[in-house]
Amino acid sequence: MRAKAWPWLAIGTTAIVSSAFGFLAPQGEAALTDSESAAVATTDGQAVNRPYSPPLRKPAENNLYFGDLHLHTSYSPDAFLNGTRSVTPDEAYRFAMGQGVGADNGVPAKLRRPLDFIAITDHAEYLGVFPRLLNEDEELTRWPLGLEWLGYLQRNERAKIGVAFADAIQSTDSALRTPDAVNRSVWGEVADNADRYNRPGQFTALVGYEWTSMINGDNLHRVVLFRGDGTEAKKVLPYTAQDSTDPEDLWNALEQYEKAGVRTLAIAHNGNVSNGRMFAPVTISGQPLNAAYARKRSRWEPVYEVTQVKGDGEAHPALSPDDEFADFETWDQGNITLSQPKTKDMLPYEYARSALKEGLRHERKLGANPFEFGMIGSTDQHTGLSTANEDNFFGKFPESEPSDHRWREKMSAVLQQSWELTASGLAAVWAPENTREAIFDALKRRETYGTTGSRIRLRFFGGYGFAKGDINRPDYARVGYRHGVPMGGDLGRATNDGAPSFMVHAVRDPDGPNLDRVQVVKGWLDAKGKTHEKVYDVALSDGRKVGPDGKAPPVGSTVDVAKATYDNSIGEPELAAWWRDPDFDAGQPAFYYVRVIEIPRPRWTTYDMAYFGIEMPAEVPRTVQDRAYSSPIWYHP
Amino acid sequence: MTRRRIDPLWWFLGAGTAIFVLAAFIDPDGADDASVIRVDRPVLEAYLASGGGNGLSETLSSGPLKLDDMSAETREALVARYIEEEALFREAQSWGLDQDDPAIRRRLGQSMRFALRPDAVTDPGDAELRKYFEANKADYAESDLVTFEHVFFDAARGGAENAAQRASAFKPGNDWQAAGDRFAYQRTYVGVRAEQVSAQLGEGFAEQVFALEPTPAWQGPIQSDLGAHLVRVVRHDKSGEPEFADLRPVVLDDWLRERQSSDLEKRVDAIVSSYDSQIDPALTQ
Repeated sequence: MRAKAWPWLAIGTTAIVSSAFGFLAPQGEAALTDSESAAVATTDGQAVNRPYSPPLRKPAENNLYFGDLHLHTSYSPDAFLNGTRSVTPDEAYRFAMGQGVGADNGVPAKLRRPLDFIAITDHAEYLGVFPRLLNEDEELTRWPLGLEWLGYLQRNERAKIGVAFADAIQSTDSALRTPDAVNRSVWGEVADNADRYNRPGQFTALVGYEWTSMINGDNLHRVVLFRGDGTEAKKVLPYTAQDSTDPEDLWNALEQYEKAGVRTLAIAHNGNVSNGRMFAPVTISGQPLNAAYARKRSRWEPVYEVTQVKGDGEAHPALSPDDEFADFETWDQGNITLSQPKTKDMLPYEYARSALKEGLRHERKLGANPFEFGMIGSTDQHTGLSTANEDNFFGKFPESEPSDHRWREKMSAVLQQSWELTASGLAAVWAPENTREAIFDALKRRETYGTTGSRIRLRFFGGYGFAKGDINRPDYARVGYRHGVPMGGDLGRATNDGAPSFMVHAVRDPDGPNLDRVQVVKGWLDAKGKTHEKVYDVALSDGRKVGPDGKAPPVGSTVDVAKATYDNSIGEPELAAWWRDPDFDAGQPAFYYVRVIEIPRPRWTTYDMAYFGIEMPAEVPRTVQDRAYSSPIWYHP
Repeated sequence: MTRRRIDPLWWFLGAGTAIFVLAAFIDPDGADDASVIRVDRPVLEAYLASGGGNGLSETLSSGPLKLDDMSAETREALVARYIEEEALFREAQSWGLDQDDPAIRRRLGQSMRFALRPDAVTDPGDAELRKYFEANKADYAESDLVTFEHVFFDAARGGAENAAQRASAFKPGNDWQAAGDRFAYQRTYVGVRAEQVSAQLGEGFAEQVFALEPTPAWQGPIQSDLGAHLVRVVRHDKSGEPEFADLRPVVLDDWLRERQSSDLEKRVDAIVSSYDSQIDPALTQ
């Protein structure tokens, strides 16, 4: 009979114990169902119901394509941990192709015009691991680190996992590496996915990833892009910062790729948060640069991502005090983790213009130029949504996706406030057709430029045979290719030591602001080994002239800050110029690149103020003059 | 004969008392006492990792703030800060402030939606997909693509009429690339959709170009907002009817997406309808 009491006791105890657990168990996201890594999406065959025809190949006139070569999705661990979960690579491709997608904060998002090409470049370290962990991927949960992280995820202990991840990302401890089988399977998925969305002639999806080295928090990241298709890319595995944090080792790895028949290139970015490391005169191991280093770097890194969401990297006001446009979206507080503040001596090794000058100096000493790079822009957004426009900006992480308080949210909870983010940038490529091969080859020959978001159209040729009136010819581009070189090219010394001349043609974004001016930025090295720079206004809108002080009057502004509007009653839709260097010295090595400046328009934060009816502190700039930077043309005496 | 039977309730109460006595020995502070805030190493480390130490150190340190590297003062400040945060959090809960905060309500709603997301559905087979395809056929129609070259005569130089006259005077044997005026955008458009043409040359122009037959001859002039254009259409790729067989993977993808989102809405609706909403009739009048 006594036994009859046991059920009561059992129920009572269970009730007490379970209620205790109810209090003790952390409240997490209970049901972790997850469709994001369900690799079911496929869009191949979309275009196969009509014959594919190879586009016309007219060497006289290339086509212009706009895209983003640096974008992260939920497959990047930092994106995932900051809340990018529903925007997978599939969503990111769809968005880039012009389809509507829901941002992770619930706001519907769509591009005004689709992109022509994209490279989804998720971090190579723990690539695609977190979405799979949430799905309790068997291979991953057998891996001790994976199991530990899964626990954090299920208990919603984001901070813990953030710390564990930061420790692991550059560690050489093999126990902290993604299990090989998972790594292969995710990489295979990434590569195949690019193939599914790639539509030659219409939309190019390049296979890519990002190598995430940041020594002591100093940014050295590189995006790695593949020329071939997914099958080719699958012959190799992504090279990670766990393999090495030294860029020279990355280039060696890319050389190994090439031996396996896989062609790639690397693109560095954010010298502005490298604390002097990006274009330093010494290697990571502290040796002065040598010729082998210079040749390797220029071979593997033909272009540099000069502008993106974490600030603009063309010029710094302290380095270019005479350049009134040098202080544009400047980020100079510290390195990428803000663990070390910035000091002035770091700046020359962080900005593109200064690095190009450094390159001339090195070249004289070494016989090879380590910093002979062209320019592109890209977004580096971690929301899967490639948005570079002031009036359609979806931020860096979900915390900076549109809301009335995003401007003061700190990036990744501890870094810069979001108002400092830059709505930037785009990669513009002159290529004979919209295919992987053509875009890759254009990057290799640096026939590219970067914009800070607008689709400014820019042509730039240099040579010795251009007549003054050639720029007004309908076929000036043919003349440019025939008798000179396009942006990214090299000019040798003329037999008569004459100065080269240049043709520049800039057209505003059809949906954007007019142009204020076109400038040529020249950098050169004198006989004593000192570098110099000068900015020339070569075309000004509204009939303005450069004054005796060398400055042109400002274009003015039509911006109504309260309404966040501007109009095109000032500036010009199109500016063109033939220009010859008035200060040319045939004995001095030099480079020339073009900077196109738009008239002022409301900054993205100003659109936020008007849309949400909020006020921001005065330190937040109200207007911007978005711009384009061409690849340089080098003069070699 | 009959032993007195003890009421099971007494057994239950007895066992309960025993558990509480036992618990008092094991954990004298009482684990669920809301008035006790415990601060130990794991608690502080978690707090630090979640950014609790922001701004505590005066200089930027080279790495994340660590408990062991802190001065006693800083640690004290950290502890005090944690206790304050935790106390206010609990007090706010006990005041029920979490009940009516719109931000918290919405955040919980979002978490609920996330938790409700259905598992991936599987391929429903050809019949179902074909039905879906037929119902949404318009979405699968590809755009026509046109490839053409044009010679541009700028209306800004002497007006639209003059531009048209100059265009008509063009001799077909001449070098077309050197003819006419400089054009701001492309002179050769390769495999472009109508909206790409109209973005740069206007809708009227796009319509006319798409109406032309591909021939090796120059046609036109066609007027745009910018001037007159002689046009040579190299090819015109007609999209044709979309074929299910070619598009099956795309259709499957779209079907799955739609299915998943409609399943989610159904689950949300089910929750909503499990509540009895009583709406003031004055509101619906």
